[in-house]
Amino acid sequence: MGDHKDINLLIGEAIRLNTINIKLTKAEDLTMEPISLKADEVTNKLEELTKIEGYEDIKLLKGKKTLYCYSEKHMTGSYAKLLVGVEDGDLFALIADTIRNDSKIYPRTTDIKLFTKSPYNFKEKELMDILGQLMKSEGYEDIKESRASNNALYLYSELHLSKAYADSLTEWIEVTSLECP
Amino acid sequence: MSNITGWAGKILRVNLTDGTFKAEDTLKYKDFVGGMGIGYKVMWDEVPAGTKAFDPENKIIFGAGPLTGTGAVCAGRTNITSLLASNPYNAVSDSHMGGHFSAEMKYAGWDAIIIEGKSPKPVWLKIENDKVSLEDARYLWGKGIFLTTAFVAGKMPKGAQVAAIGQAGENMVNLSVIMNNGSHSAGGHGGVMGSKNIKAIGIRGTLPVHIAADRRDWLEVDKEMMAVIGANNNHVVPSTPQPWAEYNAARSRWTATDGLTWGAANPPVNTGTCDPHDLNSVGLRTQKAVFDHGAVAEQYTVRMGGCHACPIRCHSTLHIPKLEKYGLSPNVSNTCVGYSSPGGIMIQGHSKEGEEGEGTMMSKAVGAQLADDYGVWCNYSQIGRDFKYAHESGILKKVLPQEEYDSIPWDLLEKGDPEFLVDFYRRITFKEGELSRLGEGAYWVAKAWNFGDDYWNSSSYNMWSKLGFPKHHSNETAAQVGSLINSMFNRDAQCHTHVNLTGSGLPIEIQKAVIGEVIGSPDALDAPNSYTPMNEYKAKFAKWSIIRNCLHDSLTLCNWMWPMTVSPLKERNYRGNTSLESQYFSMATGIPTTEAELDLMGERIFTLHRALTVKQMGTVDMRNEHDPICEWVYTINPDMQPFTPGTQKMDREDMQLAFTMFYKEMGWDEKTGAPTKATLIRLGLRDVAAELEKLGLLPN
Repeated sequence: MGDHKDINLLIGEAIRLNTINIKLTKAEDLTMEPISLKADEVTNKLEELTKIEGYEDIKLLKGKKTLYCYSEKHMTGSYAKLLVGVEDGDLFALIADTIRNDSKIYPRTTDIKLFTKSPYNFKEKELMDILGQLMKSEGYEDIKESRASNNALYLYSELHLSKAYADSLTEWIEVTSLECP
Repeated sequence: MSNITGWAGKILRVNLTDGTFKAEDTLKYKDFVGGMGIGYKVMWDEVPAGTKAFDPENKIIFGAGPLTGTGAVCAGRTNITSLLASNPYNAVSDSHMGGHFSAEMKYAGWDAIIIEGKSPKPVWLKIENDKVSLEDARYLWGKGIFLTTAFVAGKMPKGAQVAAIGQAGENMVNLSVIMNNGSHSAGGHGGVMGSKNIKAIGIRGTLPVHIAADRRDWLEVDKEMMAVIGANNNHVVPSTPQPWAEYNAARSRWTATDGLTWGAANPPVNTGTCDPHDLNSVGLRTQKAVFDHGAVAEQYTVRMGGCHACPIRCHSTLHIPKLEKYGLSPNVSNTCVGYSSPGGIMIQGHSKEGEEGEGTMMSKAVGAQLADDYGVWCNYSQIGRDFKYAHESGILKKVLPQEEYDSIPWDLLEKGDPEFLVDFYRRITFKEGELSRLGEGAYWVAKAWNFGDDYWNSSSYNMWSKLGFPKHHSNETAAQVGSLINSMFNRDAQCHTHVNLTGSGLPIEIQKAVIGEVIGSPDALDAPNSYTPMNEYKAKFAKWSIIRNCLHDSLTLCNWMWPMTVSPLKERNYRGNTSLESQYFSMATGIPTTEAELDLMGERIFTLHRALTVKQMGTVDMRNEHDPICEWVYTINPDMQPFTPGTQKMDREDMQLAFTMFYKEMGWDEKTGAPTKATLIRLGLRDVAAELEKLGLLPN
């Protein structure tokens, strides 16, 4: 192995390049050539790296399966979290986190069509099946449906929005806003 | 005059009655900035109260501003000021068009064109720098805008810009437009040109527009502007999740994403992931065709176009071969209401033939072509809602002679066949039969056909004012703020200052923090559909929104983009820069002007608009005669109370308080809403105060 500076550079550039290509770098990716870290040293090495001047853009996110890295020069934390959700494959959490966040911060209801777009990329039938299961599952009781007058389906979290409020936002986003462009 | 910068220095006065021309000094209007401001001042000084829109005594002013043609970003608007025939008092109003006309006007050496009198025969105005002539337009009379534009352009040097009216303007249809560049229209004043027998203006300029500042300093401001600019309507988050974006919003006009193309370009152009730091992709951010028409439009999109000096391309050009079936060109360009309004006339829906959304797109595209060629305006889509009400209430069957009623191709309407629009627009344009009264505008048609209270009082028809104009980013947009803005003009409010923020796509806490920094308190803004009682900061927000709007139409900058209240940049915490207008103004004119000083000019311009309205209406009681809002605003959602999350219902007492607070902010009389003598004098409008006093139109 070369000196520390060389390895840091290799790791940093690998993470940045992956990020530019809209990919997270998994901890285990760094055990492969040319970086070839030992599996038990990856986490420490990455944590050290993020503290070194010139590598402050390297950020770590702990997923359910592994540790992920990205460069915030090329990707926002919120998008990286979405990618972690996709990688983790915990689809309920991925969808529910998005809905809860929308209800809380904008606030707005979430058009289910969002989940057919990147990086979610659900097929319509798959999405409807998952939503059907999610809304019956423990821990997701707050996720509720809201329909616009054109029957478009939106979702919201009742932790943050009342039904009346959610319905009004759905109608505004889906119908009324288009009548007042 | 050679030392003048920003402004061209001259205003062209065209007297159509005697065919004379005169160059006048622009700088006598410099306190009114340009565009809208010059228009109001000319109307105040020269058009007597009581004049009607189509009287020869009315004037029409085409205005550029000190930033037009300088290269300032998004400075392609032309402001047109005149009396508005669709308003019951024929009160003053502005129409605005994008395109390239006003910049060409500056390059020809003119800041404005004042057109007065009435020509004895149809003419078009030919301008090549300071060479001005009136040309015979008898052979153009009766022709549409497309052919007129092509013909006039053919008589002009290459690169000329043409503004023209269609047959609707010639026939003095109240709802008619003036259009340049074949699809950039200004609604409401086409008939004024028709009444004066002027068909078009062709203009070519080859002169420079000078700026006072060192060009390197100018470039720095340009860089700052390009750093903070968003997409159309200054939406600063993308419509789908993107790697560079912390936030997204489905209704954002930043629609670009990898895989979404200008599908009919050869080869197709991928809009891609438009990182806001990549200035070379700014023009790709807004794929407006899919925003306006849905996904089906992607394959027909040749390109996105737009206006002079604007990097935001919000004007889609589509190639739809099926348009030829309707006797139309397969190429259509427009944006926003230019498309949606014709769609709204298809009150029984759109054809379901073809791909999903294709029927709707066809209606919009067919209607856009027809309306643009005839030069029909829509009163911000109200013409469709008026038609809908008259039809659904049974009024149409009563007021139309049986023979006329039976001649209307109702079967096409029921099938959603866009061919219906061919018939509809022809009737409106040529004033064929009673149905054509729809072209007079909402106030007049409601009066003639005796529309019921349900028309005014139902939210279904969007009427904001009994003066005959609909809501346009009103109570649903920042509650009292949007409501106040909508009540202040003599037509639908064309103010986007407030909605560009609320529609930016940013979370509410960021929006509140930003407006708090601009206005003084985050309480100026509520979360969408969840509003709180009136406070002074909302009044300040409404005032700021309007005076910036007036400034933009005077400078001239596009209020669909400006002000740069927010930005897409996380590292700036999404802050924009609201001082950019004053920086550009200072550098262009050489007159050091702070943001507050420029805002004061906007206040002057808007107060002059109010004074013009007082004078034309002959009353100081603006609160009760001009500003009231239609009832539905107070009665929607009958099961909900105002100030409850989930309703945009306004509270009567609270809105009266809102008016009072707003009048106070403006320095107007808090009881009547009319400008006071002291305020007029404070704003340098002493002559206005004197005339209103003479007319007994100053509040006590």
